[in-house]
Order: sequence, then C-alpha cells, then structure tokens
Amino acid sequence: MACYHHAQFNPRAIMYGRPLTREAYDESRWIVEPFHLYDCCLENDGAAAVIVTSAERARDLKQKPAYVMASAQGSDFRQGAAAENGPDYATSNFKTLAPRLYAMAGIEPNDVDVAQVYENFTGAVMTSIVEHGFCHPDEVMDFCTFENLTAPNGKLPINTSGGNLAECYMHGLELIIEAARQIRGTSTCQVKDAEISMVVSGPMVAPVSDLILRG
Amino acid sequence: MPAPEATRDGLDKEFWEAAKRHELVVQKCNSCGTFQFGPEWICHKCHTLDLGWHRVSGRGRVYSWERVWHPAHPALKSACPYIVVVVELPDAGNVRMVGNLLGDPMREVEFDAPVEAVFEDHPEGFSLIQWKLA
Repeated sequence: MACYHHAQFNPRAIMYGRPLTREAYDESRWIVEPFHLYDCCLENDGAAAVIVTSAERARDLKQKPAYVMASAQGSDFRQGAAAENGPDYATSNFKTLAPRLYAMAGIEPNDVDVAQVYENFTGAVMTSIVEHGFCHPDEVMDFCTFENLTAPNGKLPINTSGGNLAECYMHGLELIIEAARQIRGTSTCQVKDAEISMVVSGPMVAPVSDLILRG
Repeated sequence: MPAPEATRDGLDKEFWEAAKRHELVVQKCNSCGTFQFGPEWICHKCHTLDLGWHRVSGRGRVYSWERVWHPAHPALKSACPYIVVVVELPDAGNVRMVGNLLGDPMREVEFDAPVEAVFEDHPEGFSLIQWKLA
C-alpha cells in the first residue's frame, strides 16, 4: 500500500494514476498462496543507469552527489545450497551482512532517514526490515503500518518512488536511483532533510547486497 | 514443457536413474557421512571430493508448503491449483526436497505432516518424485 501510495506522486511510475485500495488488494487473485497479485513485483521493459565516480570528480558534476557511505555483499552459511536447503530457510539473508554494513558506515539503524527495500514479493520485505534492525521480529506487524512506511513523516519511509511493486521493475536499480534522489532532495515523495539513504537488495537469494548513501 | 533430464556434467545422474527404479537417493559424503541435496562436487562439511549416494526410505515430513494458482507455464494451465511442499527427510540428515503434494489441492496442509515419496513414471523415459500424505 505504501508503494502504490508513493507511486501516485511519481509521474514516471507505471502505477501513477492507478491507486490501490485495501479492498482491491484483498480481493485480487492468488498467484501463489499466501501471495496475492499485488504482493508480486511488476514486469516491464525499461532502463536505468547509475554513474559511480570519485568524490573529487563528482564535485564538478551538475548534480548534487550522493556519497557511498557503505556497501556490502554476502550471504549466510550454506545459502549457496539449493534454496530449500539453506539451514535458515525463512531468512532474507541479511543476518550477517547488515551488522557489517552498519559497522562500515559507523551508524545505527535508527540513523537511517529513508530506505528502498527490494520487493520481489511483499513477505520478505518484512524479514529484510527485521534483519536490518529496524524492529524486533515480534514487532514487525506493528512496525509495518502505512503510517510508518510512508513519506514524509513515517518512521521509516520505504520505496518512495513506488518501488518494484508500483514504480517499475528494473531489478532494483531504480531503487538505487531513488535513494540518490532522496539525498538530492528531488524525490516526488521527499523525506525532509534526508541525510542517510539506504538501499536493501533482493532478499532470499545468495548473495544479497546493501548500500548506504549520504549527502 | 521440456522434460527433466540429468545435467550434462553427470552430477545428478544417479538421482534420476534411481527414481526410474523407484528408489529415493540422497548424496552422502563417503568420508564424514554428511548428506547434501541437490548434489554438489564437494562435501560442504569436510570438503572431500569423495561423495556417494545413499538410498533413503522415502518417508519425510512437511517443512513448508504453498498453493499455486498462477500457471507460470502454459502447460500448467490445467494443473492449477496445486500444492508444492518442501519435505524434510529425517533419515537423510533433514535434507529437504521440493515436490508436488498429490491429492485434493484445496486440502489444509499441516507443518510436520508425514508424507511419503511417490514415483511417477512418464512415457518420455523419466520418473518424477511426488509426495502424498502418509
């Protein structure tokens, strides 16, 4: 619901002008139980690109740079085995990665102003949020409310361009671009004074990756 | 839909051959006895290359399940809905396998429900391992 809400402000989003109601979500057809149609990401053509350069060169560029504070890639023990044989079956696979990422950036989860959390399917977004320390597993249903996850005032606004569910499915690259927009102040759902902007990659695969940008 | 076949490198050949004989086999390390599946070239526990196959009972329990409504391939149109289970094999170090649960696709499935392997022979010359509630 947060993704569709954010997409209504983003003219580039595929679901721009096509808001989703709670009723339409609940009544949509099953794809694979427990996932309804709107729990699954879009499929579309498109293109996206990111320019990575040195801080020195970035100074002379037209756009305000977003600096890479930390980036990490990895996975948990035996997650390279066939998916059904990873010992920790229901993990998003960030349990070892997230602490490494925060240590690299020198920040805590509550320092993050805005996050783009890859949604191939909605379920693993909750696991990703838990494994990045934003809430305790027991609190996830209370944490993942529309109010908490939406810009500009939510506790942790996520997928502020509409994400994979409602902006477009560029295999997550669009999430990196949106994270940079939040640093530049050019998002269509801007979080006020966003200083620390996080990207969480596709969950439940190996390896996974994370990125933290700062202004 | 393309028929399943053993990979060209021969790694899982014995699994498919055994299925044709209506036997369920799991890869097992000849050195330290660790089970692993799907088959790999190296034992993940002791790193030896000396791996073999071990016949198991074909009895397991439901570790997880899902009901599929959307045909991901046109050939599956008439098959939906169907239930996919992840089955844990207690006599193979709790290695897990994925397969279809035969029977009423609208039934409730309980975690840990006992299941057993069913060998489904296909005229193209391969056998699939499915599961039924025991």
